[in-house]
Amino acid sequence: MALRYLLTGGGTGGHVTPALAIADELKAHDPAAEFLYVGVRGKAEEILVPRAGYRLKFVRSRGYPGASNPLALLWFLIVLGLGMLRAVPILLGFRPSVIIATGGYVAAPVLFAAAVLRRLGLLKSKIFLHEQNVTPGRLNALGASFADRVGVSFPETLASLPGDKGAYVGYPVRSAATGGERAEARAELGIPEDARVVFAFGGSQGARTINRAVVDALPRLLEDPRVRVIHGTGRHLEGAAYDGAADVTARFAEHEPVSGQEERYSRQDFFHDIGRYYAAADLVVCRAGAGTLTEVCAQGLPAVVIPKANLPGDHQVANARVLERHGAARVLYEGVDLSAEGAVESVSGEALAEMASGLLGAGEELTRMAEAARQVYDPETLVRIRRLIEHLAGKGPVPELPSPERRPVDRVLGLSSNALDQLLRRLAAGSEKPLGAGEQRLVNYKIDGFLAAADYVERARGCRMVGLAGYAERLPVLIRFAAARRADGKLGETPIVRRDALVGLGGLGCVSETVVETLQAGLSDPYFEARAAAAEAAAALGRSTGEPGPLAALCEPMTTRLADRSFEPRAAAARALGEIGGDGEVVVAALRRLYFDRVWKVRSAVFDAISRLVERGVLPPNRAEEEMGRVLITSTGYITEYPLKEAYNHLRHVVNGKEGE
Amino acid sequence: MFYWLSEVIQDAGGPALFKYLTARSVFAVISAFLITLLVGRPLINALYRRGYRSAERSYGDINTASKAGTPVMGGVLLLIAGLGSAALWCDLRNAFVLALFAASLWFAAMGALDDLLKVRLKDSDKGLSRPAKYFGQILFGLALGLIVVHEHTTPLPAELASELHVPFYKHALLDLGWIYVALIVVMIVYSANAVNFADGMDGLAIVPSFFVLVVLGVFGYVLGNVKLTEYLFYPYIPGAGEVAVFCSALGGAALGFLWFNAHPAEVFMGDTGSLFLGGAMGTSAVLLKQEVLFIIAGGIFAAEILSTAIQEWLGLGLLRRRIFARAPIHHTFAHRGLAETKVVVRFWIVSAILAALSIATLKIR
Repeated sequence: MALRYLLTGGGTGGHVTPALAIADELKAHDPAAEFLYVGVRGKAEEILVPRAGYRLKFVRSRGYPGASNPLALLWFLIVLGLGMLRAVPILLGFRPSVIIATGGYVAAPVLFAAAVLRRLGLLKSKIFLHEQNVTPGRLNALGASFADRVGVSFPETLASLPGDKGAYVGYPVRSAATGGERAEARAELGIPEDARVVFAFGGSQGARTINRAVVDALPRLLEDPRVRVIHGTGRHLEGAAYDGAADVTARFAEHEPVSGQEERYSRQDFFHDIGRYYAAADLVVCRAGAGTLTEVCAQGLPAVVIPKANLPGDHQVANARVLERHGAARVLYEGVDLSAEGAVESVSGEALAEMASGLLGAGEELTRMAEAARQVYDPETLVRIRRLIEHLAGKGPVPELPSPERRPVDRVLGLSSNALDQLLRRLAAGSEKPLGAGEQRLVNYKIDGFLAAADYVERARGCRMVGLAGYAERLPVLIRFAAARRADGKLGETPIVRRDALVGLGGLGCVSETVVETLQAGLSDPYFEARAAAAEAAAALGRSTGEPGPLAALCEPMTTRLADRSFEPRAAAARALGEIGGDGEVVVAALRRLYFDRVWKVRSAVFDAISRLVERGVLPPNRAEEEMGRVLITSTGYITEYPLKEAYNHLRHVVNGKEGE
Repeated sequence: MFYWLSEVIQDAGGPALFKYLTARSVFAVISAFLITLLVGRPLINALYRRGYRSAERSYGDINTASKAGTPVMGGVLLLIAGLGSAALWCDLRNAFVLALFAASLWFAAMGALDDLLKVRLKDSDKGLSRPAKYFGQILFGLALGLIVVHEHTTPLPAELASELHVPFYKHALLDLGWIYVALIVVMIVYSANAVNFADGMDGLAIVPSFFVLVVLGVFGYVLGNVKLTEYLFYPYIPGAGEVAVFCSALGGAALGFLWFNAHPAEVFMGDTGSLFLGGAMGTSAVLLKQEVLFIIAGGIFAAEILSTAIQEWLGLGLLRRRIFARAPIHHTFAHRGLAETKVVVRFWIVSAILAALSIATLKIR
């Protein structure tokens, strides 16, 4: 009796293609097997599955909306229920030997219906789940609990799966996408044998960063008459925010026409036969999704990889780093573009052009990279998946699975803004091993991502981290965030971000005219914490540079701050004057109004300021002594001590010391 | 229990000492206090041994490193002493008392669940989720509201049930009908959360709670007394006197808890305590028709919850800036450098004055 396989999963091409790759592999080894694909109408599977020659049936499903909106959640549950009802007759009619699900919400109704039917004893199908991402999607995490085997693309994923169901198999790619003949493909596409072909694309929906960088890089790239550029702009889907083709057209309108563009540049919004383009290419410029990179490696192509920033767990960066470590690809990180009205992630066309033409010019390097890419590709992936499925169907022996090596982990990858902030603080305090050069580059890259974030809390943290990480290239961003005004004269950034941009300025330690101007603007910010941050930044800069220099210009506005309504700016201004004040007597005269300040923290700052004046030698000690007697030293605050807890800590210390021996 | 006992004794011709509200209230205070002293030490040690300790966490300017390891869930002590003493001295057949027991147990259970999750996960941010907390509070508020407003189930005189009464004004402000249920829900959610927010420094939540309990007790006594209500022009609520006994029992427990919770604290009440106190006080206020008075008497709680709401919604949510230096409001004072004890005692003073003002409204109308 022929085996029957039911495939499901989809919504985006990223879930459909692996399912088709698995189906192709199974079919190639068992031509008698029957296949049925279950998907959702109007999604990627409706186009891709019939094209691949498989039967397709539809159920209804919806993406999980999250628990915050009860109405949307209810609608989701109703649609899911309807989908399950439709899946039941399909399952009972087809009676699959194995259900193969590749995730995405499309698979949900089928999987749940199958689980219920199996529980009732009405269905005997086995369930095989394939997870493409490092971190399992919501559905796959749930589905794993009733699947028989779960194949994962990354060794890291095994830890998050129950029991020993998980099996490392790798990421399946369709052989149609790889393995094409170069000469044949070039002949079909009309590309001369000696041409150097750059194939740049940003996935099925396009990537703004790649599209714009390619347009910007074109003049430099086409300088070499042998170079040809094939550009995939992405297909605009109804309701999607980004329209790649329109964006590229608009970008071209900003440029002079490039000589040779007519003959040697071509663009398309989508490639149905991407394998032919891979085969014809000498160099690929792409995103770092696991599927794309696996295809590129399978084809043995050198790549310039531009990972998408700010994804959960930075998984595209992690993917890109694997290839970089093996020497199979070069990575270009997205930075923050300030020329636009808001901060937008981008890669400069210059950087892309330089890297790409450099690689195209160095033939040996390209060959080495291509060889390394082939090494990275794991050709056994589909074989392993097929054996696992055949075993589930009762046809083959228990397959032997390799125990994969774990990828080395960068400390920085996958950290939230908060966690990275804390890591940087530990580094600054010296309680963490210093960062390597690669990690430093990643830190800066992550900070760029935060600076461009839509959430103001992320932007604010990004600003502080610029200071903590000493990322001096982003000084202009801080200046802009701290004080830039919109056309209507209002401050452009939100108060919290302005505050943290000023904190970042203090941490960075760069003093220039513009910095001083920004601090001066910050001192009269309407937000009290920003005013205090500006004063603290001036103090920190004065301290780190050792001399007031251009900061001396801040003395006057700083003196005005001593009369601030809020106590934080008063205290910070006092401390700042201690660092930047040129004449001790003038500063002391200004500080005098704070001698009976209601808040003792301000008076405490007065003492700090006078100490610094004496240490810096701008106030004689006897004058300081006179002044300190005039300050009210009644305090409403004290620090509690717990002698018992100190004894406890002492014992802990002794124990740790002995253990360390 | 003693109420029932006194009935038996009286039937047998004995003295009726335990029937008088004043006597039972005083005994309720004393016995609750004594129970906390008796149970306190062993209970605190047991909590510590079982690992119910507070985790280290930075609360703005309050250094909690030195507070780490303090036993939490001290609310259990309040619960044992408060409800224990109430069971001894209240008339347990009284509908008000039953409602108060239900509120206490419901909110204490919710708080305990929250505390247990926090202790188990060793993270004070990972207790019950916000929606779950609100759900539980709204559920109770709805049940209480429906019972109070429905003419067949209300423990109040039927014509009074859905009227809104405010301080300084002799008559009912207006009859809200079923809308009054919504008001009760808001009131219950408000009171539970307000005490929860105030519970951030040693003794900060418990003493204002004590003063509010005194006020509610006095009002319970007055409203349940035919002559006093006539004299002060209040609607007479038969049976409301038992609320006074219940509040006394809780007040006594609060004093006993303060014995251990005074700075530096040997135990924290946790959500078990704050939700229990908030729920019980909110329910008392609803049953006595003194919702607005409760907000005045517990002005400290109002300040704590309002400052938090303004900071989170208006400030960080909308304007994207801090409005107060820190929230809830006691953190602002800590941020200004005031020692914890200073802030706490000042809050006590304010709440004492508010309580005195609230009691003055009995006559100033």
